[in-house]
Amino acid sequence: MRSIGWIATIVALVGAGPALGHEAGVDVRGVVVAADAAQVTVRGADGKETRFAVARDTRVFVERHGAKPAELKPGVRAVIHGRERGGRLEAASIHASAPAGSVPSAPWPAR
Amino acid sequence: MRRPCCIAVAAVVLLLGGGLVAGLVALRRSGLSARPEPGPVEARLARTVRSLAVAGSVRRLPNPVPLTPRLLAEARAHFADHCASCHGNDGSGDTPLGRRLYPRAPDMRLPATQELTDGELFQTIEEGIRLTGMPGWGGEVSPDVSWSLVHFIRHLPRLTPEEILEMERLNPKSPGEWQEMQEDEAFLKDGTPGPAAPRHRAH
Ligand code: HEC
Repeated sequence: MRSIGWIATIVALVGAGPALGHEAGVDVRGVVVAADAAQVTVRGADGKETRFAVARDTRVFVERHGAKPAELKPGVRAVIHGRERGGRLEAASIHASAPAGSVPSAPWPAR
Repeated sequence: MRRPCCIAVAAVVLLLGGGLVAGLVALRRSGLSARPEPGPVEARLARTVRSLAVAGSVRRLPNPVPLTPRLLAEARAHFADHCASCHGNDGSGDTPLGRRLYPRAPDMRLPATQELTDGELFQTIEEGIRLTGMPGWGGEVSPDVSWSLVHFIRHLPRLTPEEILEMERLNPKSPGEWQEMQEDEAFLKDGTPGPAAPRHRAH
């Protein structure tokens, strides 16, 4: 009996391996064109604009600090990890640089 | 006297045989699939059995490791490396692995986990849980590591977005994912251009 649990675990781990990576979606590195509480649009280096919907569980960071989508100023650099959900392209996470001229802060609160 | 005895024996044999056949049919039907959600009766029973398996003396053990910010940071890093693949950095269990195990990796922020004693959490981490995906981690490193993880599990309901972000950097990654993360960071820092087009991900 004992071995069944281990075999099951190993099979589950091996089987789920490919699923450990990202789920299907689109990643974009670009510059924020517009942002509000509902959506964020970024322009990639190829000039193409991509619009991501903002969901309740979209995680937003400016300079590694938790932030609100509306704090994303046009012109800042952003890396967006998007996923297809409910037939639309949704931002899972948005990482943005600080607006030009702002004072950079520590990456995360000192402990 | 003889006849009722024979009937009783026959009835027992029939019942046992019938039960065995019914069991086999049910087993075949389920295919021992890990995909359905465990039923409430099964989940309740498993939890009760698990609870019975913890000796009273262990259940009452206080956490002997003093909680300091540094210890918590170490436990957080350890959790990100060893536990998050199933449990998620936030302890929600909402990961491709955690969602597919039978039983599922539980949301450890909820009372069901938080109301376990420190001793119960410690035993679970050290010994694992037989016939589930939860491995036993004890034996190779000092028990203090497991006690520090108990502190971290207590901290889960108050985890900040910044802490989760820090953990993401520590999650095990493929070389490709490492490179992607470093490119993302370089791009955010000084605009070092990455691949021009959006990168589409399959599974
Ligand atoms: C391979 C997947 C996997 C890994 C890795 C894993 N766990 Fe688990 N863990 C599980 C599953 C599945 C359960 C649920 C078992 C059950 O319901 O009986 C669980 C249960 C637990 C529980 C009990 C929670 C409760 O409410 O019953 C604790 C505590 C725990 N894990 C801690 C850890 C820690 C700490 C680590 C890392 C050192 C870890 N786990 C690594 C799969 C995993």
